[in-house]
Amino acid sequence: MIKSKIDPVIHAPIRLQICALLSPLLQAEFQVLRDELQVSDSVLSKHIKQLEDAGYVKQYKGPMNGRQRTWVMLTGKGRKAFDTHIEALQEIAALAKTKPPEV
Amino acid sequence: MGTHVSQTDLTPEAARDALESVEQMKRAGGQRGEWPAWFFIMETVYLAGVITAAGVAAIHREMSIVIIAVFLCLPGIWFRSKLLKRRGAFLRPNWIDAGILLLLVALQIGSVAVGLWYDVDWLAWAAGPTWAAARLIRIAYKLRRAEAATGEPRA
Repeated sequence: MIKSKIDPVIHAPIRLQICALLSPLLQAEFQVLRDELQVSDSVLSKHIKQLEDAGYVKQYKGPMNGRQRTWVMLTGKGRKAFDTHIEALQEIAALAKTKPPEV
Repeated sequence: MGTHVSQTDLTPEAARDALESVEQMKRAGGQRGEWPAWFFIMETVYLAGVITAAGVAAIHREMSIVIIAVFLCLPGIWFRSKLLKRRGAFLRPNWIDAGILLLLVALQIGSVAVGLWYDVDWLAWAAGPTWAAARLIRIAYKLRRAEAATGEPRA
């Protein structure tokens, strides 16, 4: 039951971190995400594309300091999927507390 | 695509590790999008001053001062949007902060209405500082909460 709530798109560590980083934000610039996650541009682009294909994030070009930059934001669908995924992770983590120790 | 979720990934330990990294990233995102306290304090003093001047001038029917005060808000709005973009991350709107900002407008409209009706201006003089005090308390509360979460001084 819990496993069905795990979102396979968000489950990958980098994508989970992207969603987590974007969750308190309205939008973030691509470089901010790259610096915080400490991954290369190409790796980040690949993961953002996968999230975008699932409809979880939206990308657009906008000016910043006189230059066109890529901004990324979590969509409503993405926010909901992320919350559900976190709920499932919390349930799994709680299993360790409720399970009797194996002898 | 690498989206297969294996049973081994879903151990309670793995879930706990994932939740820990999520919390770290959420905090990092929140800090990136958070505006510096000095900006909030400056903005509060600036807005309280401008709006108080506009309210008092309106009661004394000095419309040129009201217009100047309203125009003085424009550099503030320009500076705010510049600073937002420079930081590369915008925090989601917070309804409490938006409510406190609306309180300023409501307080000043109310005090101007009362001032015009009874021909007194002390209420308009008091509205700006009252609002500034409310907002500064809110800023102090947010700083204290951030300090408690990260263990680092945030001023």
